[in-house]
Amino acid sequence: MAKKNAYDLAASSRRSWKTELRRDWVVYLLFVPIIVYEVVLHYLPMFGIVMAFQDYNVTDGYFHSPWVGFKHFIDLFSGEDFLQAIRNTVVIGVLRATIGFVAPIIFALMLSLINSKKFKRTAQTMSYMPNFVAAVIVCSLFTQFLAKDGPLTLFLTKVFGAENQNWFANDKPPVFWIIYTLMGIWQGVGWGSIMYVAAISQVSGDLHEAAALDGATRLQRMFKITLPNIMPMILMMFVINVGTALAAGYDNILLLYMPSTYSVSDTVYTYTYRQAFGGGASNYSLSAASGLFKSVVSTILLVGSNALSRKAAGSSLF
Amino acid sequence: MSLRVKWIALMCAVVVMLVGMQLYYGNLGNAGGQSASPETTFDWWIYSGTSSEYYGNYSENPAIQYTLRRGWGPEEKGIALNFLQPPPGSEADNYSTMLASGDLPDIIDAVICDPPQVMVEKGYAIELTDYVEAYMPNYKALVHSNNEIYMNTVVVDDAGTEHYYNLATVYEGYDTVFQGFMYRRDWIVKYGQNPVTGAPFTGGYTDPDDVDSWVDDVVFPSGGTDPIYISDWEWMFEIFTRAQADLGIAGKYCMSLYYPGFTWSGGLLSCFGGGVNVWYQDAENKVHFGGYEDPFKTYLECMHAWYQKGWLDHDFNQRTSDAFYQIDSTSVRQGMIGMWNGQQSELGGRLDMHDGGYTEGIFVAGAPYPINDIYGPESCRNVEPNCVMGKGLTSGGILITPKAADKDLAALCSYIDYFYTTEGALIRTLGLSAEQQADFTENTFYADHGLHSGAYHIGEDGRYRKDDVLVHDSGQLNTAVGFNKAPGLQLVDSVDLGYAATYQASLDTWMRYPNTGFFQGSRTTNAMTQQDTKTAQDIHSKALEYMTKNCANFITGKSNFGKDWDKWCTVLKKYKVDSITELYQYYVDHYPFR
Repeated sequence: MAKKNAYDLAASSRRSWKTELRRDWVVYLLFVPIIVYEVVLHYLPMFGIVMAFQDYNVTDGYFHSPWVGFKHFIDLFSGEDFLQAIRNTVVIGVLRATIGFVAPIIFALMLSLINSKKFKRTAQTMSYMPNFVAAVIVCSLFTQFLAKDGPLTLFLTKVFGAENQNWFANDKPPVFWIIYTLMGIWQGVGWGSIMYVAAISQVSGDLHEAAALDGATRLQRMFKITLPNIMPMILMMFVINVGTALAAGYDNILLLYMPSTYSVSDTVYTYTYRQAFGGGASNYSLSAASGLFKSVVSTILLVGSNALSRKAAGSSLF
Repeated sequence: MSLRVKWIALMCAVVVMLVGMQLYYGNLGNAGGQSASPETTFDWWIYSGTSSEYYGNYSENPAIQYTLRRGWGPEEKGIALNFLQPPPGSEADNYSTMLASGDLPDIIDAVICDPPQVMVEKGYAIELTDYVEAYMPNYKALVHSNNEIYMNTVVVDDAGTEHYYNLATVYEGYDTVFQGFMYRRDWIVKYGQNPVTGAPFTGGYTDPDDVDSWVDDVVFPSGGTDPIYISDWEWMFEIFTRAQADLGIAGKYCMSLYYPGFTWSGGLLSCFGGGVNVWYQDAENKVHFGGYEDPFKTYLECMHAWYQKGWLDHDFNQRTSDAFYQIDSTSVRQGMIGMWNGQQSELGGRLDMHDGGYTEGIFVAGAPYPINDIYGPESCRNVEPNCVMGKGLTSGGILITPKAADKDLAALCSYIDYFYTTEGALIRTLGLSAEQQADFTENTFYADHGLHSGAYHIGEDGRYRKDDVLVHDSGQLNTAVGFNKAPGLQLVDSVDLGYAATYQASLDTWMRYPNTGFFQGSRTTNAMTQQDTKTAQDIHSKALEYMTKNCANFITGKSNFGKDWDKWCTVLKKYKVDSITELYQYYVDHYPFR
């Protein structure tokens, strides 16, 4: 039987794609909508990248707008606003990929230590809820709480003696970054922990039992058994996180920032948005150049972190 | 249930859903166009509809339905109108998507588009000269009746040929604006003193139930009954500070500002001897870039001084989500603020909550833009504001797109031309008369909303006066009964809106100075070519971004008027704003708007 299975595998690897298609056509058919979706909504729009190298205007379209080479990239990098936006994007991205990334893991590990199933379920459900609240409401809530007369501001002032101020209007470097990172954690910690909770539940109970018999404490079991077992999952999520660190979640900033705090809150995403749809004339080409730069950097980060993960831990996403 | 039965049930459900959707959306799309035998349907994109309280689609408007009952054009053909309304809040996005996708309607409401000539150059609209000449005698006569109207609606090329690119709305006279500076005059009476005699002021309501029945003997330091100069404003601010202290209003201010520290169209900034923060023309028609000139610096010095004295809202640049005429409206409506930029609906005693709070006994009066008599060099003092919000004699109107080129434009243009006649102007401005309503029994909209003898009647002085139901309506019934989305003649002087004297006086103060310097959106910029418009807009955007980001720092004191101001000027010049000054000068010289 075992021999037959081995033979089957070898035969399968030798089978041509036509044979595969003939045999598993139903499976491939199911995959067609996904391919169409990807091609239509993700690959075809990539053609719009040409805007970054054109003096694009809507009337002339992609095919008749004049080509200007790297003019818009030169404009981008010669303006202080874009460089400032890159700095803010990198800082916020690093904070999200570190503190923001670790928080769901810690939360999942904490949940794994809870014995009461009822409490665990309640805590989990409550932690998911902020993820389903619309960004506008979340931002509005934080704006209210951190306004000059907001309850959180008053608490910080009265208990810690912090200056009474609108915290979102503070343009000193770490303030906005920290608030934004904490806001992201509050909103995403529960949802982000789902994968880890699932991975932890797959860890064999025998290992824990054996370790417990050998006298390992709960904390030791967590570090010596749970964490190593879910490490592949952590690394995979890390790779994804790094790849999307420059792109995801910045729409909230549009709702929170103001001209007086652009120096700390303006990111490549918001800069791109402002250039395309801001108050003055729309500069689609400059916006496309900015977006292309962001995508290239994100791709490099994704491939780089994947390679690093493969080299360091022997586990990678692709 | 067998699988087959389930499939049949599912298919039936899908069919029912599709038929339902078709019926629903089909109805929405064709709700209007109630002409006897509509032969051509025009899709008309409007920037905003009217309150859904009255009807779901603008084509249900009774004035539209009334006017579409008959045929139009030389052959008296019927037409139908299908209005496309973007969802509230996404008008601009909807407009951009419409243009970018090329999925154009037949008619575009020209509220937020590029200048008509540029729209024609870009291929989004068609030239209408031949149609105006052939089918729009009333429009043409009106345009030629007044030089300002003519200059702002007709483009004359170098060969002297007239070109019509849009069908503009034409005003019978200068209409009042809906917003302006206003202040708590009751605080002046209660806490102020005559600046000459030192005697306390007296005043109050003559009729407790009439929010406009206010009389007082207030005199300002400049000698008049209105605050005309910056010194009058500062005198008021001292009184407001006393009032707030007496009432125990803590942590508030006398006046706030729009968050960047200025408004795009000038306003308070133009009270310091210059125009706007970007380009404007002076009395000699010379174009200036205001951003680095003395008037702007003087304005900022004044605002900084007010900020230092606590008169100006210390959090003004954090109020980024507030419209510039609704800044910190919560504090305003709670009666805590002395002066603000507000709307008509806040004048008189309309903010009084009668709850014993700070709004008790409030009387709000309009204030004209002040003339600077204190700050900066002589050239910045005692100069009347020249870039203020005010209405001209024309506004956007509509553009007709290439999509409609093959349709019956003769009928459409004849129909639109009707609204430039007195009869048509009355329908679009006010609604149906009693006779017209009586002749239109199949539509009960007027009667359903309490209008039983038309929307207006003729008063003793010969002016048209709205029905009392409309005068006292606090909703949008006024706009729901007429067809004000159509271009046409907007009646102004011949309509008696029934305002009280104090209310009218406030509106008049906002119109005290005409706009002579702000040429954006006028004939001057409308005449610009597509390339010149883009060149100017690109540099405008960069300069505006820089100013929006950094201007407030001068007011709050984070930036100084020495080195920081020099850097400000250097950066703005680096954006090549002077090249655009020259460009605008060409258009101001060739296409003056006044």
